[in-house]
Amino acid sequence: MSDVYIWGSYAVTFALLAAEIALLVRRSRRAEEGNRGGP
Amino acid sequence: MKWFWYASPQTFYPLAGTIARGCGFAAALLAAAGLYIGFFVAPTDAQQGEVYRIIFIHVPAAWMSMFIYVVMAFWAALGLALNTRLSAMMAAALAPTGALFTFIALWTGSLWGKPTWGTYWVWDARLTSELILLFLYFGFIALRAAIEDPRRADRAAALLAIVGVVNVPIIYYSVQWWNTLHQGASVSLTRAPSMAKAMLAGMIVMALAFWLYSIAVSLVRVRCMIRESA
Repeated sequence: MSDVYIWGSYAVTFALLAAEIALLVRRSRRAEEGNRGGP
Repeated sequence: MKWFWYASPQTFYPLAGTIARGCGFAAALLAAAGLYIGFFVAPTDAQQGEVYRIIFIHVPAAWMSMFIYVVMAFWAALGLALNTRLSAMMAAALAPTGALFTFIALWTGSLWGKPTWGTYWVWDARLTSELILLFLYFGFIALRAAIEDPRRADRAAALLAIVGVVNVPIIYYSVQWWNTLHQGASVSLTRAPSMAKAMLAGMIVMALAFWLYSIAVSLVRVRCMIRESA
């Protein structure tokens, strides 16, 4: 039963971190496309 | 080091990219090492069994939730005092990652609490003050998004961040000030560790991984903000 709690913790944590990275990569691409001239 | 040279978003942009890449790579390596120590090196706990392995992410996430808030308030205060746009951007870039680690600390804490305490949640001083921290992060993000003028939004959000920083020592000392279900500090600078060395190592390595991860994603977010505001 403890496996459910352990995997529930680790899976959600790394899924959230991966989601943050994915969203940032998408935002970064959009920002670059919207502003080709540089910062 | 030319600090004022890098205070300009344009000059900080390439430096942020270089630091973010290095920190991201190091965070991935350390997270892999932390997981290996946490699952294969650290022994089973005599009282809690295997479920204690949740602390390898719960404790570092809780540390990061408080640390990021203090750093966010520092940047917000600096932006308010010196009227530097990059400081406000740094504060804004840290908020989502801080909120994420606060949520992770609460989530993993409740999953550890169920088999250990018999409940997912209690209105205990430590848990409640950590939940307030999550609301402070949400408030900061929402307030900044609600005001159209960026300068005014930065100032209003900075005030909230500075006022809210009082919650951080409350979280940290809540287990000493009140009679709480949550146990005392797992690691202290003034006391010898009460846990096995491998357990402590797993926690420290994972904390370093989360720390470097936070730097990397915050800098990438700042780069996006600089691009978007150009």
